[in-house]
Amino acid sequence: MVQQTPGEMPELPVEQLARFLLRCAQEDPALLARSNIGPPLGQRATPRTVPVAFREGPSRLPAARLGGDRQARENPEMEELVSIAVACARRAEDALQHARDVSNSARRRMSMVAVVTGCGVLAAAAAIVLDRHHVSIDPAFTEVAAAVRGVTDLQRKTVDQLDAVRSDVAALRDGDVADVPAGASSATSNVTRSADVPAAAPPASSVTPAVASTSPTPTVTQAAVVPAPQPPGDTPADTPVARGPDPLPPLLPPALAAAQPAAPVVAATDPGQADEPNVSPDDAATTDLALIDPPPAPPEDAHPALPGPPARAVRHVYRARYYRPVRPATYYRPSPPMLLAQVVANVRRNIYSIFH
Amino acid sequence: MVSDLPAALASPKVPGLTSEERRHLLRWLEAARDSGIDATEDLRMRPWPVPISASIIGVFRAGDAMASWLVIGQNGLWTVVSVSKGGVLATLPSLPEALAVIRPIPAALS
Repeated sequence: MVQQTPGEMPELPVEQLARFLLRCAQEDPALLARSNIGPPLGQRATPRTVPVAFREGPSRLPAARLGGDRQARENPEMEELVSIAVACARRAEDALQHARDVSNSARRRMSMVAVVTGCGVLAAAAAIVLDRHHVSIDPAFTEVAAAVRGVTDLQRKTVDQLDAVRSDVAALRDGDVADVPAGASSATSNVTRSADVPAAAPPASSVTPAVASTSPTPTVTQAAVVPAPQPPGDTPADTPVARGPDPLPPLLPPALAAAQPAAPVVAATDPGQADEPNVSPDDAATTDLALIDPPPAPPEDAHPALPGPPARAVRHVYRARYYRPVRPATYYRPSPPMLLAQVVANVRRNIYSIFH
Repeated sequence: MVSDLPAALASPKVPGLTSEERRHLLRWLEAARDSGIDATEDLRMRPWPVPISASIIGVFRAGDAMASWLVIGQNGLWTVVSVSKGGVLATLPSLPEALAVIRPIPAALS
């Protein structure tokens, strides 16, 4: 048996540690205090067993104090297991509560995101629909769009008027050019072109033959002379022209048209030369005039003996007026970047209104 | 202030009691109850100035708020310290022998 005392042998490390702990305890008596105050004197103290820290092997758990239960004293691990189970249950409960809080928060955030996304999608859809119907929820944008649309319409009307004026001027210029040679060779040109008179123009067909046959030296009215459509540069000096009052109201008002003298229809000098090489007069009368609107009726106050408009003149003028090349419609449509910018602005405005 | 503890005293060894030592401690406590000893506690986790890797057992008398003896075990040696006397009582190679310094128990119980 080894029993050493401090005076016999040099101190062992454990003895040094014991003295060190003793000094520490003297400085701080709380280091040696009981964990709990025991029963008052005179009562039987509840026996307590060795804490858990004295078990075999390492232990990270706090010291579990066993009560006076005899079974617990015999099996101290049981209470430790119970305490561990209780601690785990509490931790699990805390973790569950935390998970519930996080889940609720995430659910609220997802709901908010879904609401914002839905509002954005609705706003975008509404903006697209409004844009397709040329209606904007932005008043300023609507005004700008209306102004652009009005400018486009005005431009289109101006182009139409310019075309009409240009065709009229061209008709007048062609009439002047055809008038001079026709007057120079009027002695030899005495052909009545009854085939040019269309059936759709009753006044012209009923008057023209009689007048043409009775005028050996016809006079040409400048306003009434309308050349037939010829290829440029192919019109000879003695190209047959048709003469007569212009039945179109825009060219001559009804009063002036009624006051026009009865101009005879002067035919071409060469009766055998066709006016239009590709189209016969009958075909032209039955095809071209059938495609265009009928000429306006002559004014009621006009003289019944006045000749109606020649078929070729009617055809030419109406071609010039109604057979214009169709221009593509210049409707205002916002460009894709502009449309996208508008959609983004609407979405931002809606989101801003939601949060503010 | 106590801060001159040798580094060897705080060696990182696994503290704790074996099953045999724990059973003997329980039997000794039952036997020493008649002599006024009512409890034993593990004091190793107390806020000592330095980390303690040794086993520190505090032996309490009934009615006392502080431990009366300290049983310190390290490296296979057990030292018994009397707090009231303020000195080391004995250093023994086993826990039963160290506890017997405080309160001898009959051989039949051991």
